[in-house]
Amino acid sequence: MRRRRARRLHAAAWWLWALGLVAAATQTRNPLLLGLIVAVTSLVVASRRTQIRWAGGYRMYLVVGLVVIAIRVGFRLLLGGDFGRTPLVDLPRVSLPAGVELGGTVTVEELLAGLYDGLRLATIVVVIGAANSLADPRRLLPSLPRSLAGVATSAVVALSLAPQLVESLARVRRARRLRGESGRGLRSVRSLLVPVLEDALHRSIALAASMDSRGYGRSGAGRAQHSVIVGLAAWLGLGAVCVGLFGLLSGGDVAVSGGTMTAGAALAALGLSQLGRNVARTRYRPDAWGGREWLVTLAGGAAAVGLAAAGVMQPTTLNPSLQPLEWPGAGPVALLSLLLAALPAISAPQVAARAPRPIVEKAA
Amino acid sequence: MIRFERVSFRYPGASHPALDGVDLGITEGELALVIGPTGSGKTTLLRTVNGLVPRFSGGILTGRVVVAGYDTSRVAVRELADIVGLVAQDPTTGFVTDTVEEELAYTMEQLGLAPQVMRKRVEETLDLMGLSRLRSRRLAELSGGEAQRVAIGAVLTAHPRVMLLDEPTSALDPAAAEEVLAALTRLVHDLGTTVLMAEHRLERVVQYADRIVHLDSYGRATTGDPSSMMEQSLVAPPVVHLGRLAGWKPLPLSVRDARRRSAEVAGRLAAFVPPTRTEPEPCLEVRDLSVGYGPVEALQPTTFRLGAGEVVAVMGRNGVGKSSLLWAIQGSGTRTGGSVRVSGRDPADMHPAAARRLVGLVPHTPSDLLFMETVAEECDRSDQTSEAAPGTTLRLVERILEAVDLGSHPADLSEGEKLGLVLAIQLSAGPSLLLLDEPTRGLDYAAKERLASIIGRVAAQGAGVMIATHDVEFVAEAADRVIVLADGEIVADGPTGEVVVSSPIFAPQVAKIFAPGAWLTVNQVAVALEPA
Repeated sequence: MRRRRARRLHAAAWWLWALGLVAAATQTRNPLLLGLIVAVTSLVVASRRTQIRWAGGYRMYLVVGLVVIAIRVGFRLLLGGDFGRTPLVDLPRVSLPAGVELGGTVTVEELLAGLYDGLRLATIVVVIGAANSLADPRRLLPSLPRSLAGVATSAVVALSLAPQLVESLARVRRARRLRGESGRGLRSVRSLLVPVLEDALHRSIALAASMDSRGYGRSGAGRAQHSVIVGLAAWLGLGAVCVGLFGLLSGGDVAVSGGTMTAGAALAALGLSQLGRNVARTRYRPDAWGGREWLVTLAGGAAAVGLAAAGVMQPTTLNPSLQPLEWPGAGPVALLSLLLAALPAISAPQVAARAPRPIVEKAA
Repeated sequence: MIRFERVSFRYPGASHPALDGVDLGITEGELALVIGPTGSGKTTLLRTVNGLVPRFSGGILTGRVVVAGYDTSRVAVRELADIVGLVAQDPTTGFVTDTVEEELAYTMEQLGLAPQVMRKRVEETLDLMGLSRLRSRRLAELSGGEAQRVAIGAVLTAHPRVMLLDEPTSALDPAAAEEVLAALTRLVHDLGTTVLMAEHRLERVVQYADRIVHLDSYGRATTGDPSSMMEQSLVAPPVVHLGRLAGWKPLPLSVRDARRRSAEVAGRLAAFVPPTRTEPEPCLEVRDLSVGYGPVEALQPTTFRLGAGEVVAVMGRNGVGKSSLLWAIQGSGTRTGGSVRVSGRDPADMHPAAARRLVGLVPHTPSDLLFMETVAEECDRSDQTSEAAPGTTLRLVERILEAVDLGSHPADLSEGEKLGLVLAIQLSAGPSLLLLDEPTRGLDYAAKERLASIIGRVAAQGAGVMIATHDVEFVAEAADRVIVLADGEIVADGPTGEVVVSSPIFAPQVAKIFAPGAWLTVNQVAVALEPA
């Protein structure tokens, strides 16, 4: 019997799973549930990356999450207005023109409101970070409609830029030591930023040039040009999808918004497939979509649907009351659905981690 | 196959054209070599062939470039992907995917080839470029030489009719360079691929070329067959210089040709004994130094000394730990054990500014150190941080670089000029040990000669110099002693003559011609042959 080659999970499955968790996080401001979502993603990342070095990327997102919370709470306290009845501290009050009031009495309600909001944003950031460290987003691009070559080029350049920035920052910091620059003051920021940004710009252009010279998005010489009407239809359709989505999320009429979205999606699909017909492209060893991919995707979906259901049954679970102040609670439906989202920690195959890379050695 | 019809090109804001009235034709199956001093428009010429110049560079192109019947001004770059393949100077900037295998398949995917064809070609290319061991590696983890081979392989899989190679061997160690060039000549011979290659290290490539295109500093091109071009060319490999010196006709282009004619000269040289050197005071002592990254052991415990006034070259395969060694000695690199003493002190324990007066390191990307608006500002800044008298760096810059506009932005300097500027900045602190990481990348012969003489002067003033490099000709010119690293260990350490002459890989051309005699450079031979 032949041993099967270890298969990696389809990148889209990881991103759909993350999307499900993001959808779950956007529905709630309950710190218990949000904390659970962060715990679930951390568990999955920790158990599915084979090497300890996974932490590098994911930890950065955790830090960004903390910063988000700090900023949100800070602004809330500063610009809070008069909300809540349980005073905590008295800050000096500054009145600005145009009716803006800074400072004033800080209440517990204000603090918690900022905390809950910040936590929700931070959770979304962390979930995206988890997806990023589980599956390189660049692996998603081949699944993109073939006609969106220009957009995809920008996406590849942007996605490659982030790790490069980190690398060149480390390299330049080291090089700065060579020049005997001390690490303080405005000048030091400049000595760090100028080479890094220069490098980033140079690399971005080089990457775009490389993709172009390797035929990305080519139509094959001599084919007919795209019709303007088809292109217009595709973009109109995409626009309609955005409008419909906004309507749905901002609580507009479900029938009208849903209808707009569906019609837009159909129009866009038609237009894009027509445009894509001219692009002849094949895949080398495409990631297969099988049972395990379904399992991971459904686990993410379960979280989203579960929280929506919990919201219908007990609205206070998702948005714990601040006036009057109450301890947040969590119903069994919400808890169970979030636990289901942790399923990939066991079901999904391991993800080979990016091995540690010495920055200097690469040059040798 | 490729036709240039009165092609002129000027970059936006440039004072003189990069290409000026280039008129030439390259027939199918030819390997054409583009040579010329640094900044003479070799890269520009290559990039006009698939239209990246002017589409991605800006500037004004006049005249016509025709490839396989397509006028590049009328066809988009991407539509030429099945005809023209380009390997850029720094291959890592052009990687689109994540792993070696995916990168090799990328162009084929865009061309819409059938999956079976892709599988077959990927396997063939993995073997051809010696990459099968690396197939599922991440591109970010590759060493410079491996990355270069992947970049060439990624172009090969699409079976382009024209290949453009911009300094394909500059990042490679001598053995890897031989392999890549062998693979390329096989393509030219077996598949009739047309190759247009720009390269500074003529000693590696000139014998493979069917035609040479010479660009001068004003962007004017002359073309001809290699031996006739080499008779007058200022840029020429050592074997050609030796041939001119000895008056050999026709001029030899390869070591083999030269060796067959060398008997008479070798006989005259046998009577001459090269001078020997005396053991100097140590300025660097390295004891049991080891470097590791996680589970990877980059450098085994290593012990050696470097004398004041001594110039040591560190050589070895790509990724063997040369850079790690330099950075570990300088003190900001990782060390996992052992001790380093420079004039009795360890630079790692010192404040960066103080450590600089002990050890100066020029990294392989010198531009990382430049961040001011103009060259003059860089010099002033350097005087401040080095606590040197005002004008010190400026004088060094003027001595190292022939002519440089002090008002120009450091980013606009050529590679050689950036290196010179950073070297001047590091020398302004007066270090007792100078470390250079791959300093000859992108330098033409004239610039390398100047660099060698500066290194000689630094050593003569009593500083120790350590150079990590692949450039055997430069080592022969500049170094007194050679350390060869392999598998993280020192496998050879001795005077340049002894180490390189006995090695088929690290021997410079002159040494190969006169082996077993310990002659390294044309200059040595010239001095020895001079009538006393």
